[in-house]
Amino acid sequence: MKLKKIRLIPVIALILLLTGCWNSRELEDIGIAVAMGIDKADGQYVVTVQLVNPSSISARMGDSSRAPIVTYQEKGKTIFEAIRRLTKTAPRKTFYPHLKMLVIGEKLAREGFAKSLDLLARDPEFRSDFFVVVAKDQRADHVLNVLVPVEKIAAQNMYVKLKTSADVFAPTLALTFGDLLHDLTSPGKQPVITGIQLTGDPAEGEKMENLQQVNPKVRLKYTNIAVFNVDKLKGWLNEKESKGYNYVQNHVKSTIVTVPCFSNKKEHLSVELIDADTKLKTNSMSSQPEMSVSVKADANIAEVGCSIDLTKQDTIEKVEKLVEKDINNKIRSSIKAAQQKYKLDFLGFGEVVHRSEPKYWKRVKNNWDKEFVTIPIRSRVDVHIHKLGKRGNSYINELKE
Amino acid sequence: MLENGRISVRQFTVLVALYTVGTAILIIPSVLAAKAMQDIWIAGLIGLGAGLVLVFFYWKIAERFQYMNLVEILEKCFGKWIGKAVAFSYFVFYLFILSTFVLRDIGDFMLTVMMVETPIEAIHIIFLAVVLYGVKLGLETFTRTTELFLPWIVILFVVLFITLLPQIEFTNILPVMENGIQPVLRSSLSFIVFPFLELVVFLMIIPYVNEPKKTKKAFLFGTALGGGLLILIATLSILVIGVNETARSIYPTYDLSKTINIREFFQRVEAFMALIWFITVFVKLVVLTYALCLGLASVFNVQDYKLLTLPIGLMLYVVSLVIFPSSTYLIEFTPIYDFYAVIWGLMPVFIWLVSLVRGKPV
Amino acid sequence: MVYTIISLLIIGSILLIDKRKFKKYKQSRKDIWVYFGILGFGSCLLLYHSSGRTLPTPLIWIEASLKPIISIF
Repeated sequence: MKLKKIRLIPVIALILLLTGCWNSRELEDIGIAVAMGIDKADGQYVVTVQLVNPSSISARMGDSSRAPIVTYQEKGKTIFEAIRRLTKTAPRKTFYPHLKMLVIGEKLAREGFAKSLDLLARDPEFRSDFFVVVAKDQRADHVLNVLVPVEKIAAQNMYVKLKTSADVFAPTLALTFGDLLHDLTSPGKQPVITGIQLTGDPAEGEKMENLQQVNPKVRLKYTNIAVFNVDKLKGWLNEKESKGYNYVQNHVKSTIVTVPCFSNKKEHLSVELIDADTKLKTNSMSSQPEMSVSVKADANIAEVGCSIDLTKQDTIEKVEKLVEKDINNKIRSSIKAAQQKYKLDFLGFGEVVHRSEPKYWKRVKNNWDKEFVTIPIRSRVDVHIHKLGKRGNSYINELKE
Repeated sequence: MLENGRISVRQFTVLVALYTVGTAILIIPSVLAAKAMQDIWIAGLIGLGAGLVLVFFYWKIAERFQYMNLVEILEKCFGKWIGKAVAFSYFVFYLFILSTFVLRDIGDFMLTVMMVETPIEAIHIIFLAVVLYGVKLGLETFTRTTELFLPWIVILFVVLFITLLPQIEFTNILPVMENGIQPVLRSSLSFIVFPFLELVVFLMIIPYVNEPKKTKKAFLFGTALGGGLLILIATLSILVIGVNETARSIYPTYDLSKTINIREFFQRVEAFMALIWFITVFVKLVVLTYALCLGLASVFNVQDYKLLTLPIGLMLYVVSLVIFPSSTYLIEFTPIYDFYAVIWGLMPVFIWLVSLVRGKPV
Repeated sequence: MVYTIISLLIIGSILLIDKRKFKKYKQSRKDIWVYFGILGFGSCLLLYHSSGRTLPTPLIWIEASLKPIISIF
């Protein structure tokens, strides 16, 4: 028995020695980077990194007088150089697996950003599931320097906000870095990226006072979608076109559609789409090129602002028609933006053609964007209204005159 | 008799299956996607079919020579001294090089994605220590270990598959055969070379199965199982992360397990998933090292192959450190290696054909 | 320097582990010869490598001998 215990000693020693501590990083030694911003100035990249300030977000001994985040900024000819130069200013070595957001400054986006991102794809410390956004009319560091309420960590706030708005409202796009890499290299689709905008004075947003107000002066707000020619920003879609884009992409999970009432054009009613399914199709491209978008959606009545009789099948059909027309308008406007305004296939029709007509695709793939603008695109929307909520007719119908 | 242990037919199947999965699970999606693009599954099935034919021939050889091991077969064919020389070069120039590749693969993998600053020597020493210990304990022991590991692999595979289901996009495999059949065939050729040609090493193990006559079905079934898993993984990475990213990535399977994310809750499990290939790589290396020790021992008429384990381990360690000067060298060398491996992998088949034609009784 | 010491330690521990085996094989000299042949060769390579010099990869010979054949295809 004694002998056995002695034998255990080397085993325990081995467990302690062999568990590999070469790459161990203690939590106290790393600064967790949650967001990164990239800009360009004087031919160099300007990298801004947002780190979590651990002492002020800890639940137990949270020190609320300190800002929950800090940002550091450095320049470099490559992103990696800038990141390593950060060690001069940041107190700890930055740690990237928890990166949530990548913000690209509008200036860099207009010049072309693709060549700056190789590090993020190559370095094992970066995962490819963070979201990418463009800072509209701003430098990226302005966006990262804003303190925000509710979620203490600004990057987490941006991450959740983008996810929610893409899920339930749909003029934005939760684009991960992995998806972006796909769009940048696929010949059949031009990338688009959601914009983020700052309201108010950027300098105000850095102060703690911004957090102490009920209605903060400086806020971060997602705007619409930016269109790119490969990696160069060409322009911004408006909300209608952005929504249309999401319908075409089958990104719409849930959103609202507001249409004027047929009884009184000044009053409106809203329906909530609960499920939408989009299919892109192509005709035989070599003989008679034509592409089509068809959307099938299920909806519920959400809010009625006028007196109509919802108990009649006839009324429901009329509402369905109106909603279909509204969605179709959005889709048409995004197609128009793609074919006439920007002359870029950011809707991804090229990929559909690639899949269904590989032979034709081989011929046109090198100047697909030119070919794309000449091809007519049909669109069809089919909406089905199922439920009325917990009321039949609205009380509005019986309001006293 | 060099080896006194015996394994059962079932254990043999498990050994073959996990050996086939081996290191291939890490890199095969990228190798296949490079040429076959979205037709990875067609290339995989063709490769698996050809691999099964090859395995059938390997088994035929074993059968014709009454379940002798490879060294004895070669001696029988070429006479004692030439046979020994051929066997020696077979083990040194093919199986030894292959073993260093396998060891280096796991070292490079750890270094690239998990422990960037760790010296590769540390990983090699630790991994090799386990493998050599396994070889020293003998065939029966490490086969039983493999059997114990099997449920883990199955569970992890099922988890990987189910958690990735929501992210599958079936349109990723369209269009079928975009560039005709030729690139598909070419990439299925690399699938045959790696891993099916490497199954030749089981000619050293078949003699020690308790009922060698029944190994035919086990050998074929194990290969089909391992190959099927590989095709599944390769197709899954096309369906989830897309053709371009699969082809560009060095370790697509790892990237694949990185994308697992169920409601922001079940995520970042890739290190756990890496357990799959630690086990399969262990099985592959332990089988190779065992065959190497056994083969060299019978070439030199050493009484106990276990005596040679540590010196051979030392050689493996040194050569694995210097085998690839850089990652780029590995990529450039791959087509040459394919050709090289075909020569060695087909040699036993050639011997078998010669002995058939000569009709020499054995 | 550190690496050389580690290498010597590795070789030493191999000998230590196999010490018992040597007695068993006293009668058959040949087995011991094979053992020390491989071990000696491996140790030389390891010590050479650990002294900081780079060993050439054995693959260059394969490459040199096969390239002309492959280029035919």
